[in-house]
Amino acid sequence: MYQRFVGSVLAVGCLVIVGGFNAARAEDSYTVDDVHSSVTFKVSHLGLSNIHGRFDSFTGDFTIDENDPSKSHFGLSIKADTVDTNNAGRDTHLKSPDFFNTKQFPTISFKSTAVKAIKQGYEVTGDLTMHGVTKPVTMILEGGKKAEFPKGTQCTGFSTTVALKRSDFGIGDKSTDSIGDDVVISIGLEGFKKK
Amino acid sequence: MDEHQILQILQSLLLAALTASVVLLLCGLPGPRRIRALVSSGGVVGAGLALYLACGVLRLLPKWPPLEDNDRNLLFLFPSVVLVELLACFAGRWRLVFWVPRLLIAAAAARVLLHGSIFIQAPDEYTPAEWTAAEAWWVLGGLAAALAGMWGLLYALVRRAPGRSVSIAVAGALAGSSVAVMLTGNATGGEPNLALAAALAGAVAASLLLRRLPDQAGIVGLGIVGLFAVLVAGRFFGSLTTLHGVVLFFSLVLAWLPELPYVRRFLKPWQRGLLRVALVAFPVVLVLIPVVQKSIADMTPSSENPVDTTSEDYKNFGK
Repeated sequence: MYQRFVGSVLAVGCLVIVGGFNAARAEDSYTVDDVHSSVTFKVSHLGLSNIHGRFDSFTGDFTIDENDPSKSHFGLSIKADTVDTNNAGRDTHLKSPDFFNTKQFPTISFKSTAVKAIKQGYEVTGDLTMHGVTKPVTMILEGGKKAEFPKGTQCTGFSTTVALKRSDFGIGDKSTDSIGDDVVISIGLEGFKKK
Repeated sequence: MDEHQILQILQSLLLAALTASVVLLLCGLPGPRRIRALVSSGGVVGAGLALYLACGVLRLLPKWPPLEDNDRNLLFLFPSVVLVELLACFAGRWRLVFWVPRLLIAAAAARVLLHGSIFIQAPDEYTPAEWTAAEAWWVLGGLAAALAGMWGLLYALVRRAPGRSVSIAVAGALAGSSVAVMLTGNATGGEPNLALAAALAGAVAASLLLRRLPDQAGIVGLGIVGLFAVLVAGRFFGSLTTLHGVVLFFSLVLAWLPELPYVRRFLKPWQRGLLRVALVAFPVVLVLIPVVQKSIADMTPSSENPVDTTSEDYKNFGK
């Protein structure tokens, strides 16, 4: 009788522990899906119109903790020499020391330092390092819907737009007359994880 | 490059030339116990000061901490050369001792300029540096040997042919190389050294007003290190080709040709000087022609240069 009682207590204890563990494990870690994600930008030319460009190669990961969003984090690393504005000559110039200096600063990176849940998704504050200069940036990540695609793979995604002054990062700060100082960056971020 | 930037460059060139010439003239004004070393040091100090003032006009003064090659050049490399050449002006019989710091500068120059770049430092934990350790040793060693060798050749040439022609040839090669680097998409790399070329030219022009020609070794030293720095910036951080970089740097070897015994015997000193400048200018112009042509072609909107379409294009559409 005593042994059965002890056995029952242990079994219930184990269930409680396992259940508690599962409840605590509410964070989901995703790898950025570069096929369905994009990092694009636009910048004014002579104040007439906008030139659009993108970065073709980037990697990243993020973790979403729905129970405690402050424990979530986002990280993105962009290869600066994959800048693409659909003009080879301009791209070469953008990679030079006049702008990104990609041989000296090969990556543009973002690492979150604070994440807050908001109605549309998350407000993410982090350090953006570009051209060797690190500045705090806050962006609103809209989305967070989940889907299963392909079968067995869980996906989620966010979109954000952030405006920066390139002169703050020392990028081409000599040529802010012809090319606008304000750059609008749009990021579409999808992540996946195996179920 | 817009009009404002072109005006800024012209202002920097004028300021550099004026600064170098005024400082040299101030050091060379007739007076009691005016010594040649003081006048020669005026050339070095004037050219050095001119570069930093020009960089102020160009908004290219070095930043702290130094992140790019231009910062490291202006904070470490160039001041070291100015200091060594300045002290060497007063060294008298001990001037050869200053080849020790010159060789140390030559050995460290490329490493300093390329510090932190993808050539010698891995961009991230997943991507290795572009060069292996062995390749880095070979490239940096080769660049150091090239700089030391060229510096030595020109120093010997200044001693053998003590006119203004070597300085003019160096200023010309530096100006041409700076323009080539600017036109290959690295304006920030070329502009300061174009100003340095203007400073050297200003110092040479001002020396015409002096009773005695100052020693040219100092400003030639500044010029050769400036040439090395601008070509490293153009080749490794910009789009200057290796061939063009090599031709521009070694164009100065041709300055020695008029000193070959057979040529030297038949030419007067001024003829040799003229030939020296022309010989150095020739390969520089040869490089500049295709660089300028490509730059103009790149700036032309592609819609003005439509590629002729043929029926083959139509047939191959979608394939």
